[in-house]
Amino acid sequence: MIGKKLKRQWQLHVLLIPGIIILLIFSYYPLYGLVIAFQKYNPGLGFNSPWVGLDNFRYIFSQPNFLRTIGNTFYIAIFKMILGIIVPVTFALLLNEIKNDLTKRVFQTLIYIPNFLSWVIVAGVLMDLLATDGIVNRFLNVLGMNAISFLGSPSVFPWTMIISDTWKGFGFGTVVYLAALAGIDPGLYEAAQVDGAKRFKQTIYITIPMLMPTIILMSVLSLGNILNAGFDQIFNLYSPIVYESGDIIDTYVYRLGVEQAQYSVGAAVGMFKSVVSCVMLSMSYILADKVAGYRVF
Amino acid sequence: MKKKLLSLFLCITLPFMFLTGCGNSSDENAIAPENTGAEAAGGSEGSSAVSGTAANATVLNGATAEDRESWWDSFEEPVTITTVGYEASSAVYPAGDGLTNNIWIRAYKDLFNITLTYNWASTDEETKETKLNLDISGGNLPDVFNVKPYQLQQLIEADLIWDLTEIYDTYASERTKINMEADQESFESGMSDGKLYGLANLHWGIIEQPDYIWIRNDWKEALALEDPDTMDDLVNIMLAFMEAYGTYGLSAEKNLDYLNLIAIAWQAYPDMWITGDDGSIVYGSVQDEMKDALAAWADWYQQGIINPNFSTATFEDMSTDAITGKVGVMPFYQWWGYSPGVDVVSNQGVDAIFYPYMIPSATGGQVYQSIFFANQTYTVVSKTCENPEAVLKMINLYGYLVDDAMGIEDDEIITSFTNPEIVHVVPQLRVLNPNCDYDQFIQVSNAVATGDTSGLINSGMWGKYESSMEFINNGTPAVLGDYSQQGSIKPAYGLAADILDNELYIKSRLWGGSPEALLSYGSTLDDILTEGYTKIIMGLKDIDYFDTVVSEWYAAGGEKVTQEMNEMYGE
Repeated sequence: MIGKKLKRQWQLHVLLIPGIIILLIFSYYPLYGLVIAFQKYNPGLGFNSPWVGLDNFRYIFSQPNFLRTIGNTFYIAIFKMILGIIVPVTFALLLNEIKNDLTKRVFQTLIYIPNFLSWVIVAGVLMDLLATDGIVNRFLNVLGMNAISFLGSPSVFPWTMIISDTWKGFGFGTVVYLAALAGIDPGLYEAAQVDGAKRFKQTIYITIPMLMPTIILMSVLSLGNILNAGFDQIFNLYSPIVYESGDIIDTYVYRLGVEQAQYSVGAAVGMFKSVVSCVMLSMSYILADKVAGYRVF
Repeated sequence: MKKKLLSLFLCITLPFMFLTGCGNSSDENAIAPENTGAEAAGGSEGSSAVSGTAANATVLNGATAEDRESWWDSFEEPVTITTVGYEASSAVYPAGDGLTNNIWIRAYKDLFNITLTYNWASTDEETKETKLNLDISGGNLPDVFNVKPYQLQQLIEADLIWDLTEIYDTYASERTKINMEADQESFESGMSDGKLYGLANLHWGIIEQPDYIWIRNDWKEALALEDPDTMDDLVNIMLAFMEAYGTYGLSAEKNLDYLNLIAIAWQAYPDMWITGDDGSIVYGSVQDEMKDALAAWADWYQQGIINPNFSTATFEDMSTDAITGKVGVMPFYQWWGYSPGVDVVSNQGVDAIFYPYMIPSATGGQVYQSIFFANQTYTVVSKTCENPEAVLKMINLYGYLVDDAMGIEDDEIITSFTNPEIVHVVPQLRVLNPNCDYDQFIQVSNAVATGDTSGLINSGMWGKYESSMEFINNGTPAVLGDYSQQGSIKPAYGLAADILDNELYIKSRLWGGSPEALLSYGSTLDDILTEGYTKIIMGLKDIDYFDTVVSEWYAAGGEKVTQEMNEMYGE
């Protein structure tokens, strides 16, 4: 049975081989490095460093500052995810309505471009725009409001991160959803029109349900990322004043693990992140299956 | 057919897209060893005039003198030494030169047959440290490199570096040994178990450590303000500046490093380990005096004296504010004149020069400066290097050219090696003379004041003297550094000399390597304080929050660190 399938499809399997090799080398093989999390790692001694068991974990979890980074990470990541679905879907729906092909493509490109900019550049621009005497605040002053410290206020900072990241990244989602929209059978719309459904009803009863598989797929994919929360962005934009709400797991570990060369602790946290991601991913997969009946695989 | 051609074309050109990612970044690549002899200058860029040595090989009288010390001997076979380093953006090279090909590199080759190549060079200290850490953990050690104390410990434990005890005895020059003896404690801090592993790079002297409050002179004169004797005077100056020039009063940045410099006015010693009231060692940042300083700063913030954006400002932002005339008072180190001084004066004019003043007391009590253990880096030789004595030859050459060459070599030649744009940043393998700056200051300030230049006995002194005169006569911004440090009417070193002579300083109790706990999480503990203190200054929390921050610090490991400090350095 398998032999027959293989015979027909062997080219496809061959195509997969380079990808699998890369996966093995860069994702599976380094897993051995997890032992660092249980050692007191001295870079000179390498993997023969002294074994300390769970000490690193005990240490990091006794740090109140670390525990709050977990909260911050979840907060920022969850809202990024939520907005990361709502905004692209909305835009995709809107873009889909544009009849003029050229206009559609122009908008698509414009939306997509920020995605390619490095956070270092975007951060530089944002720091200027969002300064307490920057353009945005001057505009707010004209409207009669007080200046808001977007990057220096612990209450505002997470939302600055969420919104700027959504702005930068929604192009990608939009393009995916647009493609999905193009794949919806027009016959369904015609049937709905015959039944007397207006545009809005059509959207609710046809477009969105048909988009559901794509939406769920995109969500599940981003759920695995939930503990990442965007190190690049936050690292370039944060300061000690906003650590309480803006310090995420990765920035904390960066300061500890790379700047202070505490590799063991860094590895311990990394491992913790992976375990949590694994659990979240499995949970979301099961949820999607039971609740919505959609399976990714 | 057309489609097939097109696809073929794309298949061929697409892979090249990936190659555009390769190639040089800002890191320097190691260059191939140059020919010795006539073609030495200019490297691959063709001919170029290099001041002093022209297109010839480096020739030094000291190398061929009859009574020269044995370390001058060249290697018979060419020796290649790899290193990594730090590329300062302030370095100015003659045409065609760069970090990997310059007068020092050529000298190593011509005099000793040593080819020094850089595996990489980074443009800032933090990145360099991180990259070096990665190299250490990746087993990618260069032959010779400079490390911080904690890296030295790691390397010793992992047995990756040479024991230099005998090599030092045999190959270090008299000059190098004299320098090391001038700060015996630093020299010994590079030892472990009685064996020498790291050659302390030393420093230019404690005189470079005191901090000052720098005040813009033209504004001060225009408002006819007196020099500040008390902290209240200083506050008045800042308020006067604010009113007259529409600026804010005092610059600060998000790590509080610069603001902390004036904490000594309240007898607080942030970032330093001091002797507590009960005689044990305690951390200055968490003592009660710090609370007084913070209360004052919170008050200043309310008045608008401190930059309202300071919590997100970087050091560059701080400098930019001075350069664009948005602030007239800066707490800073002795080297203000080098940076941002040069840019301030270039942009705002010679009269906008800032002069240093002693930090005035806020409590009426005597102000003591903080003096830290001065040796921050060590040169180590990895066991992969087959010729560790090469390091000492290069180190000795630095000592010779900076301190002993005067009178033996042509002035032009000495200057080409030791002019300020090169000497601080290019030769990274060196042992500095701890008495250097103090001696320099005495002679230079004297020469500038009296015109009698007979006391200028080495190139360093001459350099600073000439820079100072250049600034006095022509107002050239580029030489402001030397001028404001030593040659001006209010030189930074003048104040420092007073401080040293009258012993108005406190030495840190951390005098040497750090205990392990401090190495492990010292900076996360500091983060806790920075965060808490920033909130107090900005008024987000009231001053009693200080006690909460301090207990948090103790709980997060501060207790352990204090204990280990007492074990290591206690009486």
